[in-house]
Amino acid sequence: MGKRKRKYESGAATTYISRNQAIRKLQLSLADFRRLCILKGVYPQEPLHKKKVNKGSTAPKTYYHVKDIQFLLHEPLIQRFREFKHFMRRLKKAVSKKNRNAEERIRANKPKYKLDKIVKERYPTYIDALRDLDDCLSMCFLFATFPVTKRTHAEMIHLCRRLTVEFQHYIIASGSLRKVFISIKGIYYQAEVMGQTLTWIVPHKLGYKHPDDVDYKIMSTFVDFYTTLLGFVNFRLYHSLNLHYPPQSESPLSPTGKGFVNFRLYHSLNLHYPPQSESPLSPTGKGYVNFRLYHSLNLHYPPQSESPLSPTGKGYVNFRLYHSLNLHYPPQLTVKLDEDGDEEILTNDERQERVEAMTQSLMAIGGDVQDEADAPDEFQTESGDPDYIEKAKVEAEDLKRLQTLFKDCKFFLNREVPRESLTFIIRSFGGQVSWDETLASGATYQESDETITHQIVDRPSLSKQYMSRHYVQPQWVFDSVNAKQLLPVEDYFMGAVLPPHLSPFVEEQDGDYVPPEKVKLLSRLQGKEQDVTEKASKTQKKSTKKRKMEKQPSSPPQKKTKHATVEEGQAEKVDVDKQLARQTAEERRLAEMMIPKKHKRLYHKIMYSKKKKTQEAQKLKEKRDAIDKAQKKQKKKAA
Amino acid sequence: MNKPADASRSGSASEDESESASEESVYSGLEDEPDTSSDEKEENNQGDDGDQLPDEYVEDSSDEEDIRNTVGNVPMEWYRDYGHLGYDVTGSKVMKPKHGDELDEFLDKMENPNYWRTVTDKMTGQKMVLDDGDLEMIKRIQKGAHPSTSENMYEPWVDFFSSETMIHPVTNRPADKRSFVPSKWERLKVGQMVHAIKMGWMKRREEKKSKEEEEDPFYMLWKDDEEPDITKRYRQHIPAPKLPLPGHAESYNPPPEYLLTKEEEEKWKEQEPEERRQNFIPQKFSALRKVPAYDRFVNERFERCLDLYLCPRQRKMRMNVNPEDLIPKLPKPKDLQPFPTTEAVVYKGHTDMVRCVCPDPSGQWLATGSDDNTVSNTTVLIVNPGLVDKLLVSNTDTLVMSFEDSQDAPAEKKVPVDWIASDLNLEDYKTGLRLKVEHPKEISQVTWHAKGDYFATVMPKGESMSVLIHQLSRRRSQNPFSKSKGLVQRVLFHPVRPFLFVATQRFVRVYNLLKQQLTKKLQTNCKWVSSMDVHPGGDNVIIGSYDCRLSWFDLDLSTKPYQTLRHHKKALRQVAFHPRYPLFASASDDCSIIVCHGMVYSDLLQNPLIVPVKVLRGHTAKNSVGVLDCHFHPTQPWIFSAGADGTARLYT
Repeated sequence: MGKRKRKYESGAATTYISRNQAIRKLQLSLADFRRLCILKGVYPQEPLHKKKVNKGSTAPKTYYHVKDIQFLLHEPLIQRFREFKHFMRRLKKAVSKKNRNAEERIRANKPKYKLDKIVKERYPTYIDALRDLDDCLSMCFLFATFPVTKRTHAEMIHLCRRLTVEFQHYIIASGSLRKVFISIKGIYYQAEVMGQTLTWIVPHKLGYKHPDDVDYKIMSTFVDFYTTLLGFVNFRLYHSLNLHYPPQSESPLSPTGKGFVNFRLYHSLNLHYPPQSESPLSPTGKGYVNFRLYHSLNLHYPPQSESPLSPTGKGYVNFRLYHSLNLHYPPQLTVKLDEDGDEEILTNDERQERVEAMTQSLMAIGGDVQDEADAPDEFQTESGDPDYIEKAKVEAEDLKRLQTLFKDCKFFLNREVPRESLTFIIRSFGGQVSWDETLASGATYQESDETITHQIVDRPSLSKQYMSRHYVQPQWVFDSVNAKQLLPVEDYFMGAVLPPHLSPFVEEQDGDYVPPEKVKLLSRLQGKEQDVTEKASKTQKKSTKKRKMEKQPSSPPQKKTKHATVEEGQAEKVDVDKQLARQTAEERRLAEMMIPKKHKRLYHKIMYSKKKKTQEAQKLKEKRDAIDKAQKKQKKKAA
Repeated sequence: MNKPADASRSGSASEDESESASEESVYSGLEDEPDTSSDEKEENNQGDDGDQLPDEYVEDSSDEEDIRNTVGNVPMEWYRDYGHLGYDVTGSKVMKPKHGDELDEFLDKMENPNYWRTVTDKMTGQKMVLDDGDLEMIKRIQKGAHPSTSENMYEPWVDFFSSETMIHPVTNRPADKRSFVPSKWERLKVGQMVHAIKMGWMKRREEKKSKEEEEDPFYMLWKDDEEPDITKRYRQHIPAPKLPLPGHAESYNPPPEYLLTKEEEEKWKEQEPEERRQNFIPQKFSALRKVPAYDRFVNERFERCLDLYLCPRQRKMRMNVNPEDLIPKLPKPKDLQPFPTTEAVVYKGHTDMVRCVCPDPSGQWLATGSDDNTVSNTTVLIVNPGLVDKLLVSNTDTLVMSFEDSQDAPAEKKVPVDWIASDLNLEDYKTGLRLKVEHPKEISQVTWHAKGDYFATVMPKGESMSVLIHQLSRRRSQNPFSKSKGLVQRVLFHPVRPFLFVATQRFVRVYNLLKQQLTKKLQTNCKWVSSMDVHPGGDNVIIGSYDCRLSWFDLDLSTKPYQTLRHHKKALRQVAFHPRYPLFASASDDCSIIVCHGMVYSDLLQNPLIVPVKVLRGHTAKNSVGVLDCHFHPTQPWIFSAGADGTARLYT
């Protein structure tokens, strides 16, 4: 006889474990358990049959998979947690005894844990990591804006800032930004990295109060993991583009050393864009500066000057600095000497500031970055299908056009516009950008530069204006990116009433409400600006079709044709249409009756949701019509 | 507690001075109050010099009775009801001293200049006068100062172990050996450390720190040539769903239609945060510089964090179904014509609801029954309306009247039904009445056999006699069932074979009339059968029920419904097959008649095809009763209906 089978000894009852059981098994406190779950990415699971799991009870409980908990059981992190607990105990004791010596010693030996193994374990390939990067980016960008407080440590915030800037640099360098959107919550960005779509949100950079009903401990645990993840992802991404990992500006790093202004002027050189080197170098007419500029130009232009320094002599300190940064990367260092040989030491802060300015491209490891446009072409030819190849080619061309959207534009940002986001966007699409040098470091040219094509302004008027450039509001940049072409600037002039800013993430399907602005934009995209009005009217017809069916035959098209000669014939025609529509509707109603019971509920659910959707669309449409009407009336009155 | 008494009493003579001095200082606090003045003096004396002690008993007269209570530190209210206050050293009671009355108290108050500083000792009950020292002390305590005036709290600090090296040692103690011999253990420890530093095992704190700072924690974690170890865990991972992307409404400058109106905004505010479709109120700003920080940003990120690690996950299969695919592919009604499509005639005339409607076999005449005339429901009247063919009329008459009572049939079973033939001369005969069949109870239904000689009646209250079969030619009635099987709703004859369908509340029984046995019992799966009809072929039955269902039975197939149609919203009142065309209809309380195409194939393997082809409307409901009866035209694809609104209608 076999062993007697009892209830709840196999199956679902043993595959799940409740949270309290798990905590008891791991011998952890609840807080530690939570931290462990966050770091290891263990989440509760909802069993299919709760009753079977909870021995017949349906009480609400959270369950973890038994395998997950067993997996946590062998985690070395648990030991680190215990060590930290002991550390806290010792420290507390020392502090309360006012034993400064001991306190200092204990603090110096604070136990630390590394999460790299966990990152590798959770994301065996970096594509997996990219796939999960949305929340990570949003959190890091949020923490990068935090002030340093008791709960949010300075190191964490600085690390977040550094990593996010690095990531943005990668996006710029790879040209993978696709969509941007200013919402009331913050600015959304969408990029396509290695075939993965990443979306993140950056809050508006303004002072906001910290809410009290938020547990910062949990958030910082998340950020702890996210910074590790983002760091490794950044490293990998930089290497995929052959860039130095802790990013370095492409320009020679040793500036003149005679003050910050000189240093900035130096950077206005655009040394890193060889095709643009013909452009007037610097608008400042100071001989001294020019002299230095030209000298530096002579020196830095040829690549031969990139010679590695030996760790001797005056270059030692610099070498040391770079070495500290490039410790694990290829040995080629692109440290350059000033013409005098008296190179300057940039403080870390300045370096960081300059990197954060994002106005310059990053230094590549082995010289030029490879042109990647060829790679996809080769790949596509393998797949054979000519249509597919053709399509892919068109897509690639579109993409290339998008990536160089602002190539011929030179922007100047006024001080009131959000500098970082605009710099990021403009640089991502191949534009040049600068701002007033007194505002922040990293400005590459001045307002007086005559080659500037667009100045981005967010104020009603400006006293001094140049004729050679357009003064546009920041929304123009965002809308142009979303439209994938440079929109006419007239709508976005300084002080103008802006057209609505639409979300690029919405893809309207049949029956959804499409705002008229979007219709216009779509038609513009198709290059048929003439048909704009037609299309708009067509869509209107489409959406009113249903209503027409139920209403009397005196529909709007009839009213329009009042002046026309043949009235009766048309009326008849409409009748036929109506009849046909009625007949099809009835047929459908009858066919609906015959849906088997098995599918009836599903069908009605789908139809209900569809109906709700159309109702909502209808509501929006009516609202819009009313608004348009009111506006027209006002205009008439004004006229 | 005895000691102080001893000290003050017996120590006067025998004890030496130093001892008594020390005792004095210790126990002075316990001295009786009346003695304090003397104590003070003594203390003052003591302060001067310790050696020269004054005679402490100078003012102490041993004659005086020294009252000393030995009860200790107990609440004195314990002795409230007694005459004594405690016990002295000898164990005798210390009696409460006599207090004068109020008058004495008053006199004392008036006369005694020290009255204000007189207090009562709780322990002894004696009155005592506070001296100036005591008063001073009280004042100082009230002020929060030190009670004693002699105590200086801020005495100058004497730096005894000063930083200045003195020529002479403070103590005379010789130095320890360990103070001049180097420590062995220290040497060993230092040796260890030196070794560790040399070997590079140990680092100085600064070195450590700088090394940590230098080290970049990031390296190439995912190498190109590495095979990822994809575990089972990894494969079973349920990724968290991504956050939905923002729509136009979230824009800082949305199209105006996305902004909420005042009512919508109020509604939004009243809703619970979980109910809201959007977690924000759309706002419009004229310029980017006017956009404020979003105050719920951190909360939203935090909620996302909570979702990521606290929210139970489950793999759900989401079906992406095109609703068109769910609709079964059926032939179009257009291809299934003919069937009634439009309302052609409305027959008005009845004032109350029309109960039943029936066309005559030629289709030229229509009979309706209504509630407006009260008719005794217990009689079946056989009427020859004489409307059609003369020949047919006369034949019918001869058939009906050719009955000869043969008296030979013995009354085996008494059936309480009376057959009354109408007299030729009577007025009734001229109007067409030929026969009356009187029943004992109310009749709900009469149905004819196809041959025309038999008809069956249903008396719902007749119990065992609820179904009766009558033979017209022999004017005989019989009760086929000895026992009632429930409330009979309907009976029907099979059109071809000798079967009788009896519909009770939940079942339909099929009886073979020749063999007199039950052949089939159909399970209708509904609560209350209202109507029934048999396909002209005889193999299919439809049943309508009060719970909105129409069930189609294929008798060859099963005793369970082949198909159940729930097309009506309300109770079904009547179902009917067309005698020629493949049509059937159902009339319901929701005022509609649904005509369906019901094709029965002669091929036994092919199932009947049922397609609804038309919903006919026109009747209106009265007292929540809609269409009560429907009947197809015998030859045309038309249908007659009778409604509660007092009309009968013809749809063609």
